[in-house]
Amino acid sequence: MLTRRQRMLLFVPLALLLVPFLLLPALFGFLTSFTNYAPFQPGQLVRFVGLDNYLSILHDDTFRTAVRNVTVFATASVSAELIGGFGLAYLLRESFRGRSIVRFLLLLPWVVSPVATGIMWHFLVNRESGMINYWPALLGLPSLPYLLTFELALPTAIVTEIWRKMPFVMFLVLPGLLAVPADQWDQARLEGLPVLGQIRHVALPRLRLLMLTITLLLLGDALGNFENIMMLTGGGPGSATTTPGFYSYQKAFVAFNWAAGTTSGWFIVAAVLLVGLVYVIMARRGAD
Amino acid sequence: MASTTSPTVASAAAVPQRRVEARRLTLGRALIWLAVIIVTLIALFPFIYALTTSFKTQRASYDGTLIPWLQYEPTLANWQAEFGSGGQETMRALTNSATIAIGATIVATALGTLAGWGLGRFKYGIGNRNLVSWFLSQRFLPPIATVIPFVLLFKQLGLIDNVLGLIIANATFTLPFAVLIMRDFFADFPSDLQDAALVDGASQFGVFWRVALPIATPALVAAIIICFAFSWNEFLFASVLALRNAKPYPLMVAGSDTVRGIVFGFVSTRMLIAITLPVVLSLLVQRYIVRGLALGAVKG
Repeated sequence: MLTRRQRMLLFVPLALLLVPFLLLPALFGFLTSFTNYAPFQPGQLVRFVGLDNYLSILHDDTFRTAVRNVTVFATASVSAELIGGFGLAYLLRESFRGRSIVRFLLLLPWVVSPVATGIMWHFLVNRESGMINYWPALLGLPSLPYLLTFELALPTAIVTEIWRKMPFVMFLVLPGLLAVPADQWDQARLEGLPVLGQIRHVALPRLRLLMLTITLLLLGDALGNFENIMMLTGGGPGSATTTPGFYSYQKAFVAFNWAAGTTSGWFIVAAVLLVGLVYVIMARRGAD
Repeated sequence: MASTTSPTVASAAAVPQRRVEARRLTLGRALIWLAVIIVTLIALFPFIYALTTSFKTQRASYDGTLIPWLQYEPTLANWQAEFGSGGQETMRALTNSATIAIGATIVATALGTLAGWGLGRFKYGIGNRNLVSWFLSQRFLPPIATVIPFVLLFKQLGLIDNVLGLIIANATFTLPFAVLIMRDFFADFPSDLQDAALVDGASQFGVFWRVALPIATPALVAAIIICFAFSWNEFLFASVLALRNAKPYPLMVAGSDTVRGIVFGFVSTRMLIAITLPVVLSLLVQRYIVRGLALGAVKG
């Protein structure tokens, strides 16, 4: 057993990094979101403004659109990724030659940086260089509509996100699925349950915590989504695909509006913490 | 895909039954195969297209064609430009990326393993679960939320446009992963070996260094891979903290638009270069990625 002092010592290096470089900046950002502190506009007297920053953000139409966008984005993509990923894992349950190769290939969309995939998809679907014009024409079909219009940009972003994450979900679920003992499957089949019923009664109870964690991972990523969208659409057209993450970046580094940038960032943090809290509650409830 | 072998003795009733079963077996599996192939193609499609485009001329890259020689004339121009005339910039960006990723990984895994061993092995007053939950919350936190105060701090410290600054930033961000992965491993792993070493007279540090660490190699590899991949692909902090000297590669990939508009040939080549490393890494350690991610996921 280590003495208490020794145990604390183990955390010292970590604290040396995290406290000055994570906790303190975060605290600073939190505090200044209640003031009119503007580092990019020197010479201003710093005043305490209470919740003004937060309120003005909430009144900003662009931000509200961003929140709506990200809600749609997160809900649609996460559900599709979970269902699709699970389905994929179920498909791959039975071992076959080359399965590990397939698993590896399917991991690629996630392993590759979102910047790269965002760019790839961007020039796959945009009007100038996209394939959507060439191939239908070649096959004599009418060309597909331009996918980055105001109406279709968000669905397109959702689809690319699903493309990216669904195989990843499969990758995580498959080991868990394989860990289910075969006799449980057999028993369910003997009882005459249809496939969906089998899944519900055999797999899901065991995989509950895993699915919960995966959901949280996906949600956190979707809520803060930034690089993917930036490369794919640049937040547009207009504000069709702006997310709070993108909004925050824009405000801070393009418009040099520190207050707006930090404050909107904290909205995102609040949302993720909320989701995390739900997770912790549900996880602990299941464990008892 | 093979059907059952034919029996030596078969009743008249059994034979048609088995034949039907064999056929159903093949049809079901064929469908699964088909689904798998389609999904794999969809997953790989953008990469294939990028590969093709990297060999196209500027004009042809707007075509949307796919098959070289049949539909367009392939050219090495993009690749030559990337490594030839643009070579210096490319190499510097790649070096930056490598330095940052290696540095951040070393820091994050070192610090994380220490803390993870402590968390997994021993009890803490605040409550191990609370600490773990805290680290977990870090893991799900999108970096965009903390980047802004970060910038200000680094500006004060003079760490803007400095590789060291990015190492610190990436280490901070990947540290929770390392802690969680190592903690899960140590929490699961029976401590008999470590206790035995203690009885044999090893110091606590000796136990850590000579017994715990070697056992933990799979988890360590997983942590290293994850930290490295994240740092290599990291874009947000890089775009904000690096201006000229410390530019890592993702910035180059994104900055492929020139006066002539986005040169898709360059985009493709740079993207393919950028993804080479993560792809090779994940090929080498596929098993460990699953273990590492699943460990963190299953134990919460």
